[in-house]
Amino acid sequence: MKRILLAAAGLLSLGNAAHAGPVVFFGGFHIYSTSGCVGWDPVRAFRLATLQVPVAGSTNGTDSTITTFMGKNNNAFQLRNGVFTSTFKWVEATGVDGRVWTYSAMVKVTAKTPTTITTSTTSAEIIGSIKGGFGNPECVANFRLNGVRLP
Amino acid sequence: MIRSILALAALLAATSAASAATTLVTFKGGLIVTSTSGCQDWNPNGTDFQGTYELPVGGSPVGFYSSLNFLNPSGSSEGFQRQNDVFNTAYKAVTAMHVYTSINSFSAYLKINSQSPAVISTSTQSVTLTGSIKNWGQDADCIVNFRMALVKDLRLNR
Repeated sequence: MKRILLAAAGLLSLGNAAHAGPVVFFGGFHIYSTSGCVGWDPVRAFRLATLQVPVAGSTNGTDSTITTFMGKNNNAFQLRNGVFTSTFKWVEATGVDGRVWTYSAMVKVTAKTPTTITTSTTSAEIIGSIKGGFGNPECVANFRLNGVRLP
Repeated sequence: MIRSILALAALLAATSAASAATTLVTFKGGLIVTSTSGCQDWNPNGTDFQGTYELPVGGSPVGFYSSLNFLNPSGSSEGFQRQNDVFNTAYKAVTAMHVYTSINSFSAYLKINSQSPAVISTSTQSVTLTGSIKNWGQDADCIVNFRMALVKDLRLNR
């Protein structure tokens, strides 16, 4: 009897682990205002985007990542071992266009819905700012990202 | 002179009121097919698409259209459009358009099951909604349920 219970518990555990998986959101991203942008100003730009942050019970890990892409242009911002907060944090930034380049930028998130993302969250929206992104060192881009949970 | 100024003011007021009546707003973002039923030929359950949602706000939809589209990264797209109307929680007939290596137009039905915010205005910056489409892929029994999370395209709507 004890063996049967243990086997059942093991199966349930496996089932839960398989269900948790990664929690990644995919959706739209727009830049609603900017400041300090020299040359190209990304204001009102639209991109597709993904959002992945640490989520308890998932396989997301400890990094926080925003990727944006449209056509042949990609920009990604990754905070190693941390979560975005309302103060700017240095992130690893990557751009992929006709070439690939890496640089440092800063990201902050000033609003998040829902406040806590769990393994059962079906959509998430964040509002924040990227400083020094999109190949523009002095540019602050204020953005909104709204995404649905990928299956 | 005063009469001319008053007439001009009235004309400007009328023009302003007319232009504020109805505006098309466009949202773009992610779309996931959350479940399906009765799909025989093409079952898109679990597929993610780029989604777009365009609708008239602020006035009468007559003369405008509501359009909800699934864009597949592989290059195909499924478009659903209704003239002179907006979508709500009841199924409404739409013109469906499948575009891939050929173009195919047919009738389908679309409804919105939930939407946040409930009312979309010209100042709405993002929208998250769930909905259903019946007769997906011209498969009469196929119902596709989806979720979308979108932001306003600010280059189209300032």
